Amino acid sequence: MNCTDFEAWLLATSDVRQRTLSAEAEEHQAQCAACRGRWQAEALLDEAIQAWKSAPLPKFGAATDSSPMTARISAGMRSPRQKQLGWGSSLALATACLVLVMASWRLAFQPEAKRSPSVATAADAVVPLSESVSTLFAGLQAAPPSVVAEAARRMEQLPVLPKAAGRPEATESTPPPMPGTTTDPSAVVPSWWPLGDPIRDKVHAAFGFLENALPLPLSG
Amino acid sequence: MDDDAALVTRCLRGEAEALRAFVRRFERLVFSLCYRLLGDQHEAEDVTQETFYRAFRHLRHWDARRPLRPWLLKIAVNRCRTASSRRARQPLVTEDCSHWSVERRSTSDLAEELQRLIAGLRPEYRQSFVLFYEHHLSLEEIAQILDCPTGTVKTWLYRARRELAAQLQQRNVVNEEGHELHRF
Repeated sequence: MNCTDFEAWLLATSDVRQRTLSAEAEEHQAQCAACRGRWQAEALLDEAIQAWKSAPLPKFGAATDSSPMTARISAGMRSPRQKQLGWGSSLALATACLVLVMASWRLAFQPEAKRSPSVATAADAVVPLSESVSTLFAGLQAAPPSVVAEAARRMEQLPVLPKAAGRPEATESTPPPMPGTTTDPSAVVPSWWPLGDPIRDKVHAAFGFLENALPLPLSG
Repeated sequence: MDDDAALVTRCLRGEAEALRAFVRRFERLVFSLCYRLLGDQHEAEDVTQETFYRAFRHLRHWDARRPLRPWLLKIAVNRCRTASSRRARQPLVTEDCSHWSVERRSTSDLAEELQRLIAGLRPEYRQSFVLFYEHHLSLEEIAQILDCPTGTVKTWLYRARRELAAQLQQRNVVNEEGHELHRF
């Protein structure tokens, strides 16, 4: 046996807990100082391992607190029944959150008309018929179908009237007063004014003399 | 083993007393491994608790035909690996003992020094060494725990022994009889 064989023997017997030198290995280490020292180191390691194994370990749980470690570990455990309850409550909470999110989403993206039905009803309000039209409508309700058809045909043949000329109603075209502007009716923009800007008092005072010359009044 | 299976069955039924009995039965085993691998009592206790938490969570996945102890030790080794990676910036060997003078050492000193040297081994060497000498597992069981071939475990054991023996020799440690080890 040479030094390489001796090292190979150490490797081969590394899984033996208490090994003894074979005859060949003993013969070699008796002749080789290096391998003898190697074997002595191995022997001391075995001694250290025995001491290490027999050395008392610190008590489990002594480093953290005085409560028994087993109680603390098992207190953190949950039985299968508790786990099921835990899953159930989590699922219920998740469902409630989902419903809340969906409800808020629907509210946020609901069309304006659905959110304020009063506007729609105001627009759909029945406009009262004029007296002549209501008289005609009442007569048609009582008349036979042939008369009604004839009346409808004649109404379709009526010429389309042009849109009413002249100034529209001031209440419909007047914009709301801007911040910082006056609410004086004389300062409000007339509907025929081409620029659309409000006429300030100073402008009105400067060009007020034209009011008599022009056919239309400057103020609405 | 049948006793372990019965205990696991009771644990799976959610019996609190069975859970406590499980911890009592294996706490020493798990804690000693964690302490040997980590070298710190506080950390070993934390990892021991983590091991039991993990074990209880996956208890239904344990194959009752296999022994429970290696399965539990595998969880503990993995937890220790995670803990070691968490403190990767802090080396396990915190004390430089190379300046120690030659002196006669007691058994407890020898054990303490070996524990210090073990802490400085590579993780796979350390795990193989502790599982083999502390927990008396076979190479096959260690290979299953560490997910590697049996021959690899044997090599790791050999290298661990060689490193430890060399470091003991470098520090001129003497045994109780006062025989100093000389460098050759």
